[in-house]
Amino acid sequence: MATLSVALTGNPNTGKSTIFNELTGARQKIGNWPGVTVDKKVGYTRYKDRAISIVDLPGTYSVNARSPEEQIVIDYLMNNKIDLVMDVVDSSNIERNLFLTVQLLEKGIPLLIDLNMQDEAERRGVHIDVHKLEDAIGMPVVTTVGRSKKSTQKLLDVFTSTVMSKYQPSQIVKDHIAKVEAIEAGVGTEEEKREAIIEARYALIDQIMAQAVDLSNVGASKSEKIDHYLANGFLALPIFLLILYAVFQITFTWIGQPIADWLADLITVDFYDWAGEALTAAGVEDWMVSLVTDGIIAGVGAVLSFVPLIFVLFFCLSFLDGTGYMARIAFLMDPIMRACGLTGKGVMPLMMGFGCGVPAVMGARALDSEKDRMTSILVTPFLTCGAKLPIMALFAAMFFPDNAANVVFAMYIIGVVMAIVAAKLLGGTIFKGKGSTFLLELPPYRIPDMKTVLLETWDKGKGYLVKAGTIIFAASVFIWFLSSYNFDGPTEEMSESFLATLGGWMSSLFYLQGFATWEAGAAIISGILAKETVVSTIGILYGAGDVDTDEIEDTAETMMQTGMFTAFTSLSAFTFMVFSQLYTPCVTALGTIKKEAGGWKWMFFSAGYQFAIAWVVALLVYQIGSLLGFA
Amino acid sequence: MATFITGAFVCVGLYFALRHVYRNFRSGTSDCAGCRGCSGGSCHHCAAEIPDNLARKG
Repeated sequence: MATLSVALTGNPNTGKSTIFNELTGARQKIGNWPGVTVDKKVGYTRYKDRAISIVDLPGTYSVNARSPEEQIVIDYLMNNKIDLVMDVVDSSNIERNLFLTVQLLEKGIPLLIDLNMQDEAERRGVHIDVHKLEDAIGMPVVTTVGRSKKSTQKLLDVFTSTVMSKYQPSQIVKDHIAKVEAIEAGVGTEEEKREAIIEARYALIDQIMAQAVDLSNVGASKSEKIDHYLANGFLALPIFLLILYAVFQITFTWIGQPIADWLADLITVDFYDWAGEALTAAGVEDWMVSLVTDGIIAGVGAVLSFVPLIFVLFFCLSFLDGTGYMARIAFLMDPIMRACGLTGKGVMPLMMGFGCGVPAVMGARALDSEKDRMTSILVTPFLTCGAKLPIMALFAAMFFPDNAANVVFAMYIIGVVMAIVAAKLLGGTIFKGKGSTFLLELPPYRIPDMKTVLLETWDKGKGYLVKAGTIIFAASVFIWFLSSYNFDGPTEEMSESFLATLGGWMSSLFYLQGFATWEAGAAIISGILAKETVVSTIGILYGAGDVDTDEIEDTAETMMQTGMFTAFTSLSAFTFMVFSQLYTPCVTALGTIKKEAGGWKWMFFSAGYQFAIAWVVALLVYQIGSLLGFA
Repeated sequence: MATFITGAFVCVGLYFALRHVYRNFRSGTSDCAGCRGCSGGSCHHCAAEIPDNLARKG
């Protein structure tokens, strides 16, 4: 079978990943910001008896090899035998997109130019004469509309029928290349040469635009009109906070929490009782019944009951991402981030941190400067990842039932503020230097594709379910063992168990924070394994299901009856939430930090400085709260 | 006997759970927030699946 290799290149947010997914059937993350496709992706398809390998390269604005994305693109295009390089161009923004096209032509790379998002260009009044564009550049041109079977079919036809060796750059392109070579060989400083080359590129783009593109009907786009309000200097931040507040209300008050309460009752009360009775009736010995019910069902169940919250929250965030609004947040945060030592571009990996710290730490690769990259890696774990959400939801529902959404919202804000403060501290001490400039293209507002939103929600939630069934399950068994045994064998009193000893050592650090109980200490230790384990440990230690079902109304009351209210006051519970929000990342995130930051030193630094900061902030919260009369 | 059977189920569950955790550890991957959360392929094995019949032929 004949094979064909195709590479997709282009600016960020031109729909490359969508085309790649449509062509290969892959479910690649499609984002509205630079850095989503940090590495190249390879997919395969078959068409007309030809096996086609398709590489999706990271989106870049240039190929000067100044950022990791640019390096990947130029290395791949220059060092591999590729049958066809397709330059995906956002038709509605063709002038800026041609800047990359011209650079690729300068490097002698023959291109198939894909005028993507033709529908949006038409709506904006951008009219491109395809034949004139082909003549102006000298390369073949195809038009697509991104996610459409017709476009996919058309591209596959073009891939299998186009012979790139037949095409030569047009005379104006050849003249431009000669001019650039002359500038490079001429006299002058590097800066002067660079400016002269940029000027020459824009001169060529102007010529191409004049020949093939009619912009006379372009007016203010719908997105520009919306941005007049949403990205307005005065209204942007309040609107953003309002939207975020609504997301939290939906998750923790209106939709997510009621379902979570129902599920919690079902698992940790009904199923717990049923399993206990069934196993006892089957003649299973008490210790094994305890392992299954007090260990596995209470531990895993405590975590599983938060699945609805995770799904609702991720659905809302994926929906917002799909609308194009999330990119505005980076734009909005740029001045704040810049004042604190990060660039707006650093917001993007940070925002991934609300899902999980691991990809967020990896996403920092997209940052150009070492200072930005290291700072981003080290501050990301302060944010509230999905795994911390159950801790927040559990304590908020129990101790602040009337203000659960507000309290969780406050935790998210505390995480963001601490990340910014830490970035400022690190930037002023360890990582001094100049950050990179931030160039962000705001995507147009779109009605999100519900299939994409649901798939994204499912993918994120699925990771959580897998963790519940694997690491949380194993940790629950382990925690149950540690809480049921000591050196003398089985113990009836948990306070005499291995876990009580370990938790006691840890809790001695938290007298000034108001939660110096061995149970809290044990939960904190287990949270380093995976943050959800804090909840499963609490579920096991306080026996979430070990109560009379007639007296149960919801999870919070269940917990109350089994001792949590005696262990925590509202203030110490809030302090515990703050500490959990900020302390040492889980082992997976630590491993990623070691890999990305380049060594054990940074991993231990991250673990240590986050614990120290969490300890100090928790101390301040508890002591100031006590002075103000909170209890 | 019932205790033994229940214990066997728990052990099997533990075996698969720990195997998953060990494999994640070996390959430097994590379940985190799913493939889309990590931009597909950059942190774990969620790059496009290569069909067997195409992978060998390149």
